[in-house]
Amino acid sequence: MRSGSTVADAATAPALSCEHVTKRFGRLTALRSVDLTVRPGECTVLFGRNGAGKSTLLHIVAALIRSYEGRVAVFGEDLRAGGERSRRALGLVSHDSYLYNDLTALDNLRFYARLYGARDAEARARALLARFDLEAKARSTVRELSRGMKQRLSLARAVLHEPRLLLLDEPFTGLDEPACATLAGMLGEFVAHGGAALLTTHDVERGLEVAQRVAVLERGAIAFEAPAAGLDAAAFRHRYRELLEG
Amino acid sequence: MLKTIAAILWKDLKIELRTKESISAAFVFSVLVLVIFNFALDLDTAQARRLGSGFFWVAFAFGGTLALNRSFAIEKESGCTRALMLAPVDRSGIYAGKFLANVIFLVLTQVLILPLFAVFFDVPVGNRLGTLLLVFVLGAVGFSSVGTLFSAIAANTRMRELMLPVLLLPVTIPVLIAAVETTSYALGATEDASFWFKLLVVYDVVFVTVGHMVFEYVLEE
Amino acid sequence: MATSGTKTGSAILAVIALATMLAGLAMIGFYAPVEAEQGVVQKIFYFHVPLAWNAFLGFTLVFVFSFIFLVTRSRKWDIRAYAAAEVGVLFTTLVLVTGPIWAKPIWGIWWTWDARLTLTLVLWLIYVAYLMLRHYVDSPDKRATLSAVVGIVGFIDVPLVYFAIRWWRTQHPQPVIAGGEGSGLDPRMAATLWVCLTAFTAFYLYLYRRRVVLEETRDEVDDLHRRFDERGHKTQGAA
Repeated sequence: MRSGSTVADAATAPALSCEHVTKRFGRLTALRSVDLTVRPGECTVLFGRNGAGKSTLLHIVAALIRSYEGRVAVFGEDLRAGGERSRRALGLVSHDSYLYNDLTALDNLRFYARLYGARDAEARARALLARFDLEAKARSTVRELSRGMKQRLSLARAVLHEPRLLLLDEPFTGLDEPACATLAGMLGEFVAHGGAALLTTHDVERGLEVAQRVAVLERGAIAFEAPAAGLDAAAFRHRYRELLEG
Repeated sequence: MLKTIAAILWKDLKIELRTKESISAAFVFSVLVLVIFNFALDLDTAQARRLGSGFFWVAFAFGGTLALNRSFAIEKESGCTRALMLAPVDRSGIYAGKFLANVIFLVLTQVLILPLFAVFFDVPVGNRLGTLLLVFVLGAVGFSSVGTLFSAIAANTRMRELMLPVLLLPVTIPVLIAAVETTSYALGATEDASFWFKLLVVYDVVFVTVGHMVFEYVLEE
Repeated sequence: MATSGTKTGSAILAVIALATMLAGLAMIGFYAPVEAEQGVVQKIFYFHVPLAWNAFLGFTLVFVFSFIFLVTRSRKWDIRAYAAAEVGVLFTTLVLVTGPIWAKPIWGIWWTWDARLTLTLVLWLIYVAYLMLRHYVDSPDKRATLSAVVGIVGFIDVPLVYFAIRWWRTQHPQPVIAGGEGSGLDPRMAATLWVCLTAFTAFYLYLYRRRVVLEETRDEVDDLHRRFDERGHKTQGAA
């Protein structure tokens, strides 16, 4: 625990705090002084055109990019200064499955459990298989799983270490209706239990379905940000469509 | 850190145990190279004995590159590199785990090639067998130290099967020369290879250290 | 942007390079004595050695700039490492060309895996690997970081390659192509060599600077393109 922090501070610390995040390389500027906050119990959906910088911002928050200006803090801890520990609270979901095709479902979860330092990797892995209804497939390799099962396993992997901030990188890409519903359901449950989430997508409908907060990134800067409740959905869709075309 | 290395090593070994793709690719390709040498050069027994160690290591260099290529190809497949980067682990632990797995695969490949090599080139391999195995390990360590690093680099490129050998082979020339000379010694063809053993050890130490230090720059988005 | 400072610097280098090159050529032609054994052909030495010196200098620069880049992450150093490599590979190629041109008339063979020439060949291969890597990576950020790593690893490798090849050659000797210039140089030859060394180094630095400016200009043009595209979007959206 940082010295000087009170219990009250820890309780109200936002899950994610981006301050003046700027990403430049030579004359290419991917992000311009982005300020963004995500609070526990909230899912913030970040919309934006391809190339607007959504992936870059998410990668920075996921500690995949380490050279940038500004400050990113996860539950009050600076991501760059905090080292490995600060990444413990993060979970990542994307259209990539992050699963090893030639390992069994159980082995995949066991690996990640060990990587994250779980004391009893075997038990943790089995518990998650049960929770996501995959026990029957424990000894099947990922190659043998159906798409739906693969998705469930990938989600299991993402929450295996009990992250408090979930990062979702275009998670709806390539998913059919039932799969999207599964994801939305899991996300809703996660947020209801106090988790925080940052989701990037260019799919307006699905994004609005899961959002508690809405933000739009355009040319590397936040162009718009508001709570989802009370948002005039039609007006937002219209404005966003203009932005995409324009 | 040790736990990270163990987890990564265990995973790579388990995948290889199931698929056997790295070792079989390296083995088959190495044998092909040896066979083609035979046809291309048509050596008599005396020449084959003299030049044999050279052929062994050329075959290994090409076969081994295939195995090393797979090391990070499996990570790139489903985007697992990102999951590894996100994990709360020291990234040089990832390097160490993969490096050790690669050393094991390379040594196994060498051990598998050895009997075929002994038969094709009619070389007596039993005389200094312990020394020969030591050479295998030192060579594999040297090859793998740079190979693991460059495999991660090549995995980021458009033509990774081309980029890995182009990057790796020039830089591993000291290992290859030293390995050939020490193998000749182990096969009884020369009497003193102390300089070459020292070079192997120096190379191994230098590049395992360097690999450790620069790896985190390679594992970035 | 090419500031007046840069332009002056380039101009000064150009003048030094030209002047010393002309002086060097004059000295090669009229001042340096004709070598006893090898005859006139030996005079390639005055090109071959300075080219080799700069080939290795170039790679040292690649190493230094790569290192600084990894520390600062500034595109400026990435440009400089790349420029040093491009000019370096040119000089290395010329070493590999002048070597055989020297060898053939004297020894009757183009190449013998002579220690120095082999080392230069390996250097050439590492340069080429560095440049190929840059070509095959799409993201500019990653391109810079990955090639910086290769620049550093390659440089650390070169001394090891040198020792390996040298010992290998003492064990399996072959004719030495690039003659032992350590074997007592006539003072006139030494003077000529120094002038040529200065000339080629100035020439290397001149080409290097021009390459840096070219790359910086390219960045500028790309930036202007991007801003133009964005403005186009803006005016459409405002409708």
